Formats: sequence, C-alpha cells, structure tokens
Amino acid sequence: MINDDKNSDKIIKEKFEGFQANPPGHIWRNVKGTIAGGSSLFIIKEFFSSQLGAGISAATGIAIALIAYNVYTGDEEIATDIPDKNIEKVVELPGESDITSQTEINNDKTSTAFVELIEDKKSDAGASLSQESPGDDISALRSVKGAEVEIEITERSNDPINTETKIIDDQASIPNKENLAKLKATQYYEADEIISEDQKQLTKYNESFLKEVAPEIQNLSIEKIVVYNIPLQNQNTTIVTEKSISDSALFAELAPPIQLKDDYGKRSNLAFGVFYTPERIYYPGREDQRSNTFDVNGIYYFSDFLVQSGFGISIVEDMCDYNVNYNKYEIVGSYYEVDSLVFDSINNGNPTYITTLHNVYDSVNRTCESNTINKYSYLRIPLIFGYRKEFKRFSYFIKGGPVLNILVKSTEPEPYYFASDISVQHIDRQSPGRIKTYWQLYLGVGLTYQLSNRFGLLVEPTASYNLSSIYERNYMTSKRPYSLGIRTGILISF
Amino acid sequence: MEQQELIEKCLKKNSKAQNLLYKRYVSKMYGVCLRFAKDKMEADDICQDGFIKVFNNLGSFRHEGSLEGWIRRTMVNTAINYYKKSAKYAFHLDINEIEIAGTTQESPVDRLSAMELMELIQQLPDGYRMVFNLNVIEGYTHKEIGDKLNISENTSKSQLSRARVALQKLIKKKHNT
Repeated sequence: MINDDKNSDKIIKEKFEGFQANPPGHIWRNVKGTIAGGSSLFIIKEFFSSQLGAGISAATGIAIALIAYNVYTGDEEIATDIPDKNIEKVVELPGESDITSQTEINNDKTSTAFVELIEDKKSDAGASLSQESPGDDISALRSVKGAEVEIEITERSNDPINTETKIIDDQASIPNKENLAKLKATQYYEADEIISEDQKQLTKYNESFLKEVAPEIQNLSIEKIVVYNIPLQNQNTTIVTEKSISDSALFAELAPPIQLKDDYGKRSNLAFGVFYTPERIYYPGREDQRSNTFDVNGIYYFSDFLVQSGFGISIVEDMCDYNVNYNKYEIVGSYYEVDSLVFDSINNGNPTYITTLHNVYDSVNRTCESNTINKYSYLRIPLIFGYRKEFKRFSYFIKGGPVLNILVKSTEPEPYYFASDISVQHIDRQSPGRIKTYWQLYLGVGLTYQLSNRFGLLVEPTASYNLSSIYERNYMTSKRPYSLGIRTGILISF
Repeated sequence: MEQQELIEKCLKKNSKAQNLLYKRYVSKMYGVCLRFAKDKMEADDICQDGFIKVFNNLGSFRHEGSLEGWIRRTMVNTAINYYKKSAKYAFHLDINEIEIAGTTQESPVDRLSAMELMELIQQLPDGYRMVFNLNVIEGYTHKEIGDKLNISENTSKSQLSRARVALQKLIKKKHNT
C-alpha cells in the first residue's frame, strides 16, 4: 500500500512539474499598482498624468487667474491717481480695541476721527515721510471739532511728532447722522445698519477733504482710508470696526478714486455651489480607480457653522476581466502519407518512400482573456456639517458627514475577443460586480475666496472612506476603499 | 536580461524589469496557486499577494538557490498564510484513529491531465489539500508541515492519508462519469 502511495505520489508530482496556467491580467495591474504605489516618483508621475492632477491644475490656474484679475483691476483704479501701487504695510491705529460701548453721534459734540493710511514705503513720498518720522509705524490722528480739524501725525508709540489744526470751511464734507440717514434711503442700506443696528458711528471723508486737512498724505500712495469716528467722551472705548466701514459702499461712493481693497463681499446665510471633484479611489489589493463627481449643493450658514446638502453624480470607471472559452478549428498535428515506395537497386535495394505531408485539424478548446472598462454612475446625496472662519476675502473651513451613494446607471460593454473564426462556448466574468448602495464618510478642509458679493471660489481637498465594500463578492467585503480628491467650485450667495 | 541584472533593476523599481520578472514566472506560480486554492478567485488573491511579497522582499534573496525556487517558496508561504488567516480548516484526527481505505491496485491517476487532476485537488477540503500539496508535490516533510501549519506531525500524516483516500474517490468518480 505504501508503495502504491509512493507511485501515485510520483505520478502526481511528475504531472505538476512545469505545470503552468495563464493568470488573469488584473493580477499584474494590482501588483504593479501596489508595488509602485510607494514610489514618490510614481506618485508624482501618476498625479500629473491623472485627471485628478489635471483637475487640480485647471482649478488652481482658474483661481489664480481670477484672483490676479481681481487684484489687477483693483490696482488699476488706484493707479490712475497713485503712480506707485506697491503696498507694503498697513499702519495700525494706536490704542485700537474692541468695541465695548457705543454712543450715538451728536453733531454738536466734538468727536475724534482716526484715519488709517496704507503707505507705500517704496515711493519717494514715503521715503520723505520716513525721514520726517523715523518710527516704523506712522499714524495720522485727527480730531474733529465741528468744522475744526486737528491733525496729529504720531508714531506708533503715540508720541506726536507733528500737529496742526485746520479750519474746514466745507461743513457738508463732514456728514452727520442726518446726512447719513438721507444717504441710507438714496444710496446704500448699510449706512442704516451702521447707525441704528450696531450703534456705530461713521464719518465719511472724500479724498479731497483728506488731502486738504492732511497735506502730507497727498504724496503717499493711499490704497485705503479707514475712518474711525469716536465721540470724545468715549474716546478709548468706541471704535467702528474696519470691516463695517469697508463693507460700506457709502464710503467708496464718496471717495470714488479710492478703491477699497477690503470690500470682501457680502456674506449671506444661504449659498449654492456647483462643484467638480476628481478623485482617486484606493482599494486594498486592487488597482486604483478614478472618479469624477459633479455636485450641486446648497449651503446654509449660521454663526460659524454650516450645513450642506444636495445631490451629485459620480462617474467611476472600473476594469472588468473576462475569460472567454472558445473552440477553434486548428492544426493539432500532421502526418506523412506514403504515396509510393521505390527500391534503389544500385544501393543494396534500399527503399525510398515518396510521401505527402498532411495536416490534421480539429476543434481545440481554448481560453483567452478579455478586459472591458465599465462605467458606473452613482447618485450622491451628502449631509455635511462644518465650521468656518472668515478672514477678509477668504474663509477657511472644515466639514464632514455621511454621503449616500446609489447606483443609477451601469454601462458594461460586452467583452471583446480578437479571433473571428471561433465558436464561443462560455464567458466567465472574473471581476466582481458592484453593489447598488453604499455609504461613505466624507471629510473636507478647504478655502473659499469671495470674488464679489455674489460669487466665490472654493478649493477643498477631500477624503472619503467607504463604510462597506463596493463589490458584491463575499470575500472582498472586508476590504473598504478610501478616496482622495480635490473639490473645486463656484459659490453663489443669495 | 540576466537574472542578476533583472533583480538589480527590480530593486531599483524599474517597471519594465518588474514586468519582465513577473511575466517570466507568473505562469508557473499561478499553477502553484491554483493547486493550493479552492477556486480561481482565491488563486488570484494568493498569486497577487505572493508577487507583491516577492517584489517587496526581493532584496532578501541571497542568490543561494534559483530565483524560481525562492519565488515558489514565497508563493507557498503566501498560500499557507492565506489559509491560516481564513482559519477555515481544522486538523483534529490522529493517525491511529484512521482506518485507511483500501487503495486500488492500479492508480488511474496517470490517465488524468494535470488540469483535471488539479481540479480534483481543488475539491479536497482545505486541510487535506494543504497537506497534500505540501507533502506530495512540494516535498515538505511532515515535521516541516507541522511547523508551518502549527499542527503535530501525526496530524499532518493523518490529513495526508485522508487526502489520498478522498482524492482516489474523486478520481474514481470522475472516471465513472
């Protein structure tokens, strides 16, 4: 019996010596993807050759172009009056503090105005001013007493270096509450907000007035003038915020040559966004996939928080492998047919065979591989919560939440097989099918740039983690893909 | 490309060399994987994981034997680990408990092709198939099998005996149909 076993083992072993089988093509793709995945060069090459890279490059290019256009056009308006538009430093006000209390403006009372200048240190005028005032930070401090204006040029340390007083003849150039109220109805509603809602006081000055009361600023490259009007009795506690002034078109209209650089755009509670997100999907043990997602989302802002939802379509391409089993009529061997026999009488009667070669054909069963690229479209429904902070035109945010994906369309082309004269026996699908519904957890950290009151740009690197496999096959259910992408889009505020 | 050059280029992450090495050995290795797997899907996974290990650990190849042998051992170890993780098999019978069924005088094994034989081996229970492959085809001793699978030598022997009986039955069944 032992000998029988040994013989049997020997036969089996011999049969498997040199045994080979054709592996499916996806094995190499997956191996390649995994071993190359760790190479930084590979990542860079893949990135720039991928849709993701193209998307990021395009989005970055558009964003830079729009921002550059925005900045350039703003500077151009300044340049009409101010030759040198290089801005180096924002001079801060001495003693600037948060608003703790406000007092309604009284035209009869004396008030103090701080004027904040942005100066160009590179300009000649800036240089001459620097000579006069050796301190790094220069502020202009003006006191307004009815029609009388007192100007103080101070260092940051608040030590006055130059003071002069001028009488303003044009009383109308210093508007009072009544004037502002009139302006509210005719020009811009934010004036009303400033007076009645925030109880903050606004005094507006046009450029000519400022140049009149402060001749030295005529030689400065002024990009922005922010006026803080403070009732004297609360001089140390009441400051109109820079943003309030900057948001006011009132100021811009009264000083048309001066382009306000900090018109950050109105922030509304409701916005809609149109987004494009190229993503790379990493599936353990499988080749990476790519997807493109188009979203339309509504975003509701409250305080520093946001809620976002909507719908989108995500299109994923996935390679599918097939084994095509077919019969083909082909040569299986050949034989020689003896046509005649000749005996050579000279050479000892050796026979000479006259033969014809015949090929033998038969139906041979073979298997070949075929790959198709399937397309799957998923409806995406996110429910995102987030937190954001604003910084001038920019706001940055972090947000996350679940995303439901529902398969709405799948395109799976028939496998292609190259041979024409074959009889296909059966086609075995090697790759697993996709499941119909799955959930993802989504996380995004990004930045928005407000182009105007209505429009903004968004750039948001994203990461998603699937809560289940995307494939039907049982033993792959434990493998959950994750994806990295970058979302770009346009925000429209209402 | 010579083997030494091929290995060096693979270690430098040269994708062409990696592809060449893969193509050079994959057919044989896939045959090994098919024997250890119970179906083609599992063979795919083992082959894939095995080659990832090969490329990731190629630097540890000491050139003491053939590269093919080293890759083959990597594949076998991958298959063993695969089944250890799945924990779907159990070795619980002692050799003394086994009543060996009578074997046929003349084995019909030689009338089967390698592919047919492999399909029958794939039908064996996981534990049987593992020990049968390791002992009969790969040439591991029962002690080595015991060490690799964390079982006793006797358990390995009993699994092999049962595998033989089961395989004979499958062969007979195939011939009768």
